[in-house]
Amino acid sequence: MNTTNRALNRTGILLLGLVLLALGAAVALAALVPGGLAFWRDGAASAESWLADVLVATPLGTSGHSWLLIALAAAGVLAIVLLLVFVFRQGGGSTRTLVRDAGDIGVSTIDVGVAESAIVAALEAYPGIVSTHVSSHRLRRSTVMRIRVNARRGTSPRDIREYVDTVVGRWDALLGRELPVLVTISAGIASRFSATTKATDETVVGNQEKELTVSASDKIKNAAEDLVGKGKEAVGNATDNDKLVAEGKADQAKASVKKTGEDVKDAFK
Amino acid sequence: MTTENLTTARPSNDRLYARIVRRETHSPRAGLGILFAVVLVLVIAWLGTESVLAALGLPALLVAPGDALASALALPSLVEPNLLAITGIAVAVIGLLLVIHAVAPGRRAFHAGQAGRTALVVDNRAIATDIAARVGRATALAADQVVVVVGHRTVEVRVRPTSGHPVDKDAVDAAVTAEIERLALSPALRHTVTIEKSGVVGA
Repeated sequence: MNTTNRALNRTGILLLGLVLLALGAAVALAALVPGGLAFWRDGAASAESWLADVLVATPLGTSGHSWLLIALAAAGVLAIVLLLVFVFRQGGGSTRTLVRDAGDIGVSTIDVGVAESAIVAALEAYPGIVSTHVSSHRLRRSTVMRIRVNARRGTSPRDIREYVDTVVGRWDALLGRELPVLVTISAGIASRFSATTKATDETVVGNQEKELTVSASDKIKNAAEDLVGKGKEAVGNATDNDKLVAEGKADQAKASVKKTGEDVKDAFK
Repeated sequence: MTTENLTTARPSNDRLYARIVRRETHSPRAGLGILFAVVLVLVIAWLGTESVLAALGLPALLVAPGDALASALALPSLVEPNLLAITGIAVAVIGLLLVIHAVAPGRRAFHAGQAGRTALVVDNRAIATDIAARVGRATALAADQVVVVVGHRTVEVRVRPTSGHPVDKDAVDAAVTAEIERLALSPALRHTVTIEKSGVVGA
């Protein structure tokens, strides 16, 4: 997701392609059609004399040079500047600022790092997710949050999406608004080297699989609660609201007690 | 979360999501665009330098612009017509490929999910491993016995059964159909199931 001018990319490639096509076709035609080369020679001779006439007819003062050449040089410099702007605008549009509100007493902004620290931890608690990455981008006057998920091999993208949507829902509640979110699910290098989920490895085990699912969902619930805690603390710190910070810490403590309980349960399996 | 929640319409984001998903699933053609821009910058800068050197009466870096122009115009007398024709055709073919590259959709190996609260784009490889796992669970086969290839509109499922244990093709087909339906991707996927005749020994 970026502000790359795709239409311009394609137009440029198209124009260059057409120029090469026309040039190549003209050369090939001149070489293959009888009389073509003679036509080229005549054309070249007349073009040469026409060019010489034009350069003489456009003198710049008494310098002896044509102003056409100076204009050409200026056009060249302009073209270089435009081309460099074109190159450096490719892939732009990413931003650190997730939310920016200008109120009566000042401007408040929320950095994407807040979302990142809250959401990544919650998402990576899910067994089917290997890693995640959160970033934000400006697109058409709106800020879009992007959540990249690297899925474990064999995990259903549908299940991952439903879990991500749950976490996003909690994030929305925390933020007090719904930012547009793009979720991309891939099975890249990291997921190729990861083990498949236990559930798929141990299909024949039956009961144990069910137990695994239950305890996994407990963990997820805790992680989501943790998310709300972390988020509250982060927002509290950003706004110097001590009450909110304290509240966030309390939420996290609650979650971490539950987490310990889970670990104990795991240990006794 | 239920299906209803996933498909709840949010009109405010619909157009934005459609745009994002389209940009995500199609190539921006940035690589070639940047390459040509850089080459063009170098060529223009070189031509400019040569022109200034020529105007000042200094020796050229590579070729003086006047000489280059003259030899381009005199090309038919200097080069074999056959070589000229071949070069011309090669340049025209490169031009044609560029035109095709500019006009072709440039689809990337992704599918879009239904937009709900979030917009979704899924890598074809993630779809393939998911379908393979689902077939594996349905047929109790090892992961390397199920090969799934996901294309733009097609899913190809190849199953190598264990020797002596025939695989129920209908069960495989049902598993694939169910998973594709559950994913509800766009463009929609059609699938073919092939059970290979030679089995795996001792899997």
